[in-house]
Amino acid sequence: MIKIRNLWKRYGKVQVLEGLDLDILTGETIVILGRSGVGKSVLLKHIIGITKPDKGTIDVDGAMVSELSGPALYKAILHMGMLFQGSALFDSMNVEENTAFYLKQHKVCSPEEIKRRVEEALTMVGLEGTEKKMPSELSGGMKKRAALARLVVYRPSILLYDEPTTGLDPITAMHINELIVKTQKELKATSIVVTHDILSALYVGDRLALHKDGKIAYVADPDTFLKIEDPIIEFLRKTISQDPRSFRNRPLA
Amino acid sequence: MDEIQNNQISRPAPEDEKRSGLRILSDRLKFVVGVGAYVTLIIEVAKTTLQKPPAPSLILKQLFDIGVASLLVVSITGFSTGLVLAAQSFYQLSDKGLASVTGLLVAKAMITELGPVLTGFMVTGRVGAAMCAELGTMKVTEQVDALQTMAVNPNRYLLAPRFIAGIFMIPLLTIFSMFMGIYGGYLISIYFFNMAPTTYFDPMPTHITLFDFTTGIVKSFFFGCLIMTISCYKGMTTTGGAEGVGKSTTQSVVYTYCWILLSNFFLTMGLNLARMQLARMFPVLGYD
Repeated sequence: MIKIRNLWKRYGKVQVLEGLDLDILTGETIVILGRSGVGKSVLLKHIIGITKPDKGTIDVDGAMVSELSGPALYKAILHMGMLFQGSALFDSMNVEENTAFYLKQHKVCSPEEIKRRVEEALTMVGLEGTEKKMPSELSGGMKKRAALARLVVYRPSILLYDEPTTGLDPITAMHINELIVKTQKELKATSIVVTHDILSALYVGDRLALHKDGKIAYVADPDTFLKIEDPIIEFLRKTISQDPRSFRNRPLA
Repeated sequence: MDEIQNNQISRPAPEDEKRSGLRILSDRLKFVVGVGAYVTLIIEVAKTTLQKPPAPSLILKQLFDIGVASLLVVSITGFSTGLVLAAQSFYQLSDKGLASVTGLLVAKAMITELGPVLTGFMVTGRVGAAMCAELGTMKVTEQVDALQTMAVNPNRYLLAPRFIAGIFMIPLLTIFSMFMGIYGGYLISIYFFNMAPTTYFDPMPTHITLFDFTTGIVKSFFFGCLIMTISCYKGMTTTGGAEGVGKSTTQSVVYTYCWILLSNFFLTMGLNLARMQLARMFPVLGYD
């Protein structure tokens, strides 16, 4: 279980997190929705420990990630993984090397086993045959899938997804959503997905949360979430139920 | 009346003065914070390396990138400097009857000054800039964050191999550059100015001392540390996308050049003063 308590973070003059509280249950997929720049990605980086809060605590399965650093932090986050918005594939490595990176670095298994798991992960994301391609030779969607293969290959028990479907065409986006659900089921992992995409959120999420004004304003199951009276949620509700042309010349949330 | 009014107009308002004062203070604070972060990074990398050294394969890759791949450019620089130095020395000294010291002058200059400084400059331009740009790109595209999320320490994986390889390779490149310079000077002196090889080389064993070599090696080691640490620090603190990478790279090259030149003066003075002190304290060692 992940317990986030009274999390505060300021960047320069911008107060990004203002006493954020959130509990994430083991094995669930929680989707964090919110407008651009409210600090959703910052929250993910706090959960995995690579950004430290000004105040507050993050307890991941008993480890105070917010207070750890150096080898203790790396040990605590060994079972966690993150998919970055821009994929963050290593430019100097091909797809195969990128995918095998974690397994080789931490000497998790034998070279034969690494090869087998890399093949399996690339097949799962539909990238078989691209092993020797460099990240610069891949399309945006392929990069996202390669990054997902790099993430699932080491079977983390906590998966963080930072806008996994942003910038992708609807079909590729749906494919990524399917992969997120499939991964969650196969690994029985806890997943935290940050997105703007309400369709994606409804597809993958067990619970949805709205990040607003530096806090988690609401958390609920998808059906309850969509019934909440809030201008942003109302807008999200309309986007899935109305013809987008009906928003023309009308104020948005 | 107009003058008074003009004076009043041109005088900054108290609030503006306060603001500009705050800006100066903020700039100074930024500098202090920057120096602190730079020193902290070096300490962190040293600590990480001592706790668990980076994989040999990573160091080998950097040894190749920094050392072997720089051989040609360092050779050309050393060789051409030796040629020019010998030519200038010969033209300037021959009419005064001092042409025989051409070889000694080339060797002294290459070993104590030009070898370390020019190698430092060439490695900064070829390796330091590339290193800063690579690390900066990794930083702004979240590749450094990705390393951390996979429980890999970027200091050990990215920086330590570069520090180790740079500090080891730059003195070697400097030695190579010194000899290329002496060889360049030799070629032009013998084949163009018809000097006897013995005239070129004979004064060297007498006048080139162990101290000269020590000076060159100490300088190259120090410049190696400067190049690697400044390039890595600027790379790892890059922000702001492609423009930020360009800015960091330029800054890393300019700062390294300036620090090489400044520290060269202080090292020259410090080493020579130390030599004189040692000579006074232990005449038997013959530091003179």
